[in-house]
Amino acid sequence: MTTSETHDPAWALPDSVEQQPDGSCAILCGKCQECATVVFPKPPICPTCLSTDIEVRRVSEGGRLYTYSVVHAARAGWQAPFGIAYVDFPEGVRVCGPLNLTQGADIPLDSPVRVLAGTLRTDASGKPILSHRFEVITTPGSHS
Amino acid sequence: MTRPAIIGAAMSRFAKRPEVTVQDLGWPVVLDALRDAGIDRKDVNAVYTGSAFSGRLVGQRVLRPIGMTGIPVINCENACSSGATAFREACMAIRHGEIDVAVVLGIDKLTSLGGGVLPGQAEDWEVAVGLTMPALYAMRAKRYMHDHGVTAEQLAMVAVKAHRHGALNPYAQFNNEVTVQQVLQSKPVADPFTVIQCCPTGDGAAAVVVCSEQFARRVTRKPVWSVATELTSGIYMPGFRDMTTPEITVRGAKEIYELAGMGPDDIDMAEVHDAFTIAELLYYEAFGFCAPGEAVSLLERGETSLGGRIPVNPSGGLLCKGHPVGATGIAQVVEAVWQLRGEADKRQVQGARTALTHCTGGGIAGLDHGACSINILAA
Repeated sequence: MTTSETHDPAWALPDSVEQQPDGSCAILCGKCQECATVVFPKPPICPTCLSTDIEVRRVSEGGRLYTYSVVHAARAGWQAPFGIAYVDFPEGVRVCGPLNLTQGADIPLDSPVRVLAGTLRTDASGKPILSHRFEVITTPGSHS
Repeated sequence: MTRPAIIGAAMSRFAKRPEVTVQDLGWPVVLDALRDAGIDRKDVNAVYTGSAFSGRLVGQRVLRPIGMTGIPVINCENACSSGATAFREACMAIRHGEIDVAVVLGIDKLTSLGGGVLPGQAEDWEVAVGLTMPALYAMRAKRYMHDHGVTAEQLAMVAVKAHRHGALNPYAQFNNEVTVQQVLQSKPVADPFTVIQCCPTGDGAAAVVVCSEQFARRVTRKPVWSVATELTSGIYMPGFRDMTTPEITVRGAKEIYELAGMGPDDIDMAEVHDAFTIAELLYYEAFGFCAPGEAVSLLERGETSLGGRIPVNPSGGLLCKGHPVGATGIAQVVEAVWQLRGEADKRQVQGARTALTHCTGGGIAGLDHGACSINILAA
C-alpha cells in the first residue's frame, strides 16, 4: 500500500496513453477482434458484438480539435481555469481530455492536436494524478 | 386503455431553502395538488416520486407526515429526467388500467450539495479527466457557434428571453430581467457560458394528480389530457457524433409526434430543457419549431417569446425558474397544466390548447444524454 503510493504514479485513466522512447505520446484504445469496433478507453466487452476479445491499439497521430471549453467553475479538488476538449482521431475515436491553453483561450476548431501525458490535478494528499493531455499544433505564420 | 388526465397541479417556488428538509419541502406541495384536484388523499392508489439527489425513500419520507402510507410508492431516479420518468410511469399504469389515481411528485434539494457544479459519477471516464455538465454543454455551444456563425451576444439572448418570461412567474427562482451585456459580463463558468447562461442550483418540489378518464369526468370539468408520453435513453456512440444535433431528443421528438399523431405545427407552447442557453437553441431545431441552423433567427424574430408563434419556456425555463433536478419534469407539466387551463396570469400563452414538455439529462460518456422524457398535453 505505502509502496504503491510512493512509487506508482496514479493515472486518472489507467492505460489510456503510451509514452514512446522518443518522448512522444499516443492514445490507447481497444479494438474488437471480432467486429473491428474501436472504443476509447479500452472496454471490457465490445458494445457492438459482445465479444470480449479486445486488443489494445495505439491511435494514430492526426487528432483534430472537435470542440473545447475553458472551465472556470470546477468541482472541488480541481484547479481552474483549465481547458477541456474533444479530439477526433483517424480511427474514428473521439477522446475527451484536458487541453493545454499555451496558445491562449481562443483556438480555432478543427486545429491539429498532439497528444501529451502530464499532471491532470493533485489529489487531497498533494499527490499528482496523471492523464493524457492535448495541445494544439501551431505552425509558424498560422496565427490569424 | 384509458386516457390519463391531470386533474391537480401544484409546486413550491423554486429557491435556495437550505433550512427546509426534503420532507417539509414535499408534503405541502402534495396536499396542494390534492386540493387543486378536489380529491381526498384516500382516493390515491399509488405515488410516483422522482428525485436525483435526495437519497433513499424520498416518497415515503415526504408522505409520512400526511399519513399517505400503506400504498405503493415508486421512487424513480433518472438524473434530470427523474420527475419526468415518474410521470411517465404513472401515466403508463393508468393508461393500462392498473390504477385509477396517482400522485406524481418531483423533488430535489440541491443546496444540500453545497452549491456550485453538480457532482459527477467518479467512475465515468470523462468526469475523471475534468468534464462538468456546464463544460459539456459549453463544448456543444462552441461547435454550434462555429458551424452556424452564432455570436456570444446571440447566445446570450436565450437568457434574456428566459428572464423576461421568468420575471412574470411568481414560482421562479429569479424574477429579474437582464440585458445581453449583463449576461455576458456575469461570472465565467465554462467558456462561452457565463453564470446567467447556466441554470441555478436550488430547492423545489412539484406535484400533479393523474387519473383515468372515467375518474376525471366525475371530479372536474377542466381535465388536461396526456395525449402521449415518451421515454428513451441515449444511444451509445463511442465514436464521432454531431454534438450540435441532440440525438436523444431528435429521436424522442419523432417518437412523440408519431404517438400523438401530431407535428410541430400542432404545438401551442413548449417547456424544454434549457439547462444552458445553447440547449434551448438545439431543442428548437430538434422539435422542428425551425429548420436546422435557424434557431437564432427564430429567437430573434420573437417567435419563441410570449406573444410569438410558439412560446418556449413561458415559465422562465430552467435558466430562470430554476432546476431542482428531480422536480423539473413535474414543474414543466404543472406549468403546462396552468397554461392549458388559462390560469398562467401574466405569462399566459393566449389560447393555448396543446403543450409539449421535454426533460432530458444525465451526463454519461458516449451518450448524448442518459435519459429523455417528452409529453404532449392537451386541454
